[in-house]
Amino acid sequence: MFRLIVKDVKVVGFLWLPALAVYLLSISTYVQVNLVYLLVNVVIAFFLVFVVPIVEDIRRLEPFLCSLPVKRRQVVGARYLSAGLIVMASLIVMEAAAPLVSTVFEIEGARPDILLSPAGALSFLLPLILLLSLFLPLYFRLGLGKALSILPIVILALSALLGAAIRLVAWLIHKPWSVVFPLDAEIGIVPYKPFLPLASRLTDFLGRPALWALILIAGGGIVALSLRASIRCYEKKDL
Amino acid sequence: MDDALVIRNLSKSYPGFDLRNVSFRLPRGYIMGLIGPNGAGKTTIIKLILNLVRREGGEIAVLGRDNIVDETWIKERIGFVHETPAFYGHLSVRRTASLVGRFYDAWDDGRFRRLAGEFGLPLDKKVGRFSRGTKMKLALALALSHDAEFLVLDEPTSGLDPVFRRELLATLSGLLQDGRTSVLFSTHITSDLDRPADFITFLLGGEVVFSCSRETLRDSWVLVKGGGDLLDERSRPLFRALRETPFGFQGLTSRGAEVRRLLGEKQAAYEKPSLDEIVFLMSRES
Repeated sequence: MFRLIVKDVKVVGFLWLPALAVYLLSISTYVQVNLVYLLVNVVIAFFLVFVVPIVEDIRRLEPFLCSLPVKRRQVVGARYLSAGLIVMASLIVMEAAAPLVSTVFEIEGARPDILLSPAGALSFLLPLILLLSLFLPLYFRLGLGKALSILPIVILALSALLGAAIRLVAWLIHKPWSVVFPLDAEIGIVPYKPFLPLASRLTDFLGRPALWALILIAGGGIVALSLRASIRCYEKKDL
Repeated sequence: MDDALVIRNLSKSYPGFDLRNVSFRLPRGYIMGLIGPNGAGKTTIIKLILNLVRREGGEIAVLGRDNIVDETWIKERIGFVHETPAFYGHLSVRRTASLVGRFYDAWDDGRFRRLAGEFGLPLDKKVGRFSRGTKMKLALALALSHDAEFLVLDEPTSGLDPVFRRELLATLSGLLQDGRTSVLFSTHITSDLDRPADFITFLLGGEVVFSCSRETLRDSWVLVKGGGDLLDERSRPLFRALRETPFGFQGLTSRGAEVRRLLGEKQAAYEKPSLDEIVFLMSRES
C-alpha cells in the first residue's frame, strides 16, 4: 500500500509547489469572509484528492495499475490513506494560509483566528469526511466520470438530510428551528455558528471529552463503512 | 511436467458475449499462441488470468497457484503487456521504470536499461509523446525486467514495425532458453505464431475450438480442395468448415481418413492447412 502512495506522490510531485503558489494568491480573495474561505478550501481539498484519479482516468490506467502486484483492496486502502493525508495537509495549509495571507496582503477585517480553533478545524474536516465517504464508493463502483456526474445529487441529498435533521430536532425539543440552527449574517465570519447550540447541549449532556470521543467514533465509523463499501465495489468491478 | 497455466471450465458473461467452459493448459517453458478473430474472447481470458475481470465459474491456476487466492504472488511473476499500453504521459521512460520497478521485488534496473537501449527507447523522453509502437516496446521492456516466469502478451505485435516484430519474436524464443519462462501470446495475426508458438489455442465466439501442440495441429487437420459435385449429404458433415465457390470448394476437416475414403485420392487434393487457413475457414464458417 505504501508503494501505491509513493506512486501517487511521484505522479503529481511536480504539481505541488506551483499549486501552492497559485493557491496562496487566489485564496487571498476569500480570506475576508471565513465561510467562503472555508468552502473554497473544502472544494480545493476535495479535488486535490482526485488529482491522481483524474490523471489515471484520462489515461485509462486502471488495468495497468491493477496488473501490478497489488490487490484491489490495497488500491482502495491506498486511495483512502492518501485522501486522509491530503485532507490533513490541506487543513494545515488552510489554517496557516489565513493569517499569512491577511498579514502579507494587509487585509483589514479578516478574522483568521476564528478558524484557527478545534471548531474551525472540525468545520473543515467533517464536511470533507462526509463528502469523501459518500463519493469514494461511487468512484470505485462507477468510475470517476459517472461518479462526478452524480456528485451534485449527493450534495443535494446531504443538504436535505441536514435540513430534515434540524427540523426533527426542533420538533423533538419543541423549539423553533432558528433556535436549533441559528442562521444569520454572522455565519460569514463564524461558519460553525449554527452548530454551536447543538454542540453546547451535547457538551452539557455528555461532557467535552465524551463529545470529542463521539465525534471521533462517528467520523471513524463513517470512514470505515465507506472503506468497506469501496472495497466491495472495487473487488466486483470488471476493468 | 508442471504447468505455467491451467484453465478449467472458465466462464464469464457480458451483454451479447459469453465465454463458455474454456479449458486449456500451457506447460512450463513453452509459448502458446491464443488466436481467434476480434471478439473471440482472447482479451477477456487474459483479463481473467490477471484478475482484471471476475470469473463467474471455473478455475485458473498460474504457476500452480489460484490466481485469486495468490494474486500478488502470481503478479510478481507475470510480465504483462496490454493490447493498448497506457502510461502516465507526463513521465519520462526513466521515471516510469522507477515507478513500476518499485512494485517488483525482483526488478532489475540494469536489465531494463539494457532492453531500453536495445529497443531504442530514449530514457529521458516523455512517454506521452511516443507512438503506439514505441509504447508497446516500453511495455515489453517493463514486462521483461523483473525476471517474470510467465509472460502474458495481449496482441503485442499490433502497431509494431515489421523489423521490431521480427526482433520481438526472436527475443521471445531466446527467453525460453532457460526452460522456466512461459509465454501466452494473443494475436489475430497468425503469421506471428508461425515460428515461435509450441501450442495453439483457437477461440471462436467465446469457446475453445482446439487447444493443442503445433505438431498435433499439423497432423490432425486436412484442407481438402475439389469440385463442387463432390459435396453431398454424406461428405458435408465430415467438414468443420467449407468454402464454396463457382469453381469448387475448400473444406477443412479433422477426419482426413474418412474424407479420403469417401472422396477418393484422385478427385480431390489434400493439403496440410496453414494456421491462417484454419483460422480463416473456421471464422468464416461461424
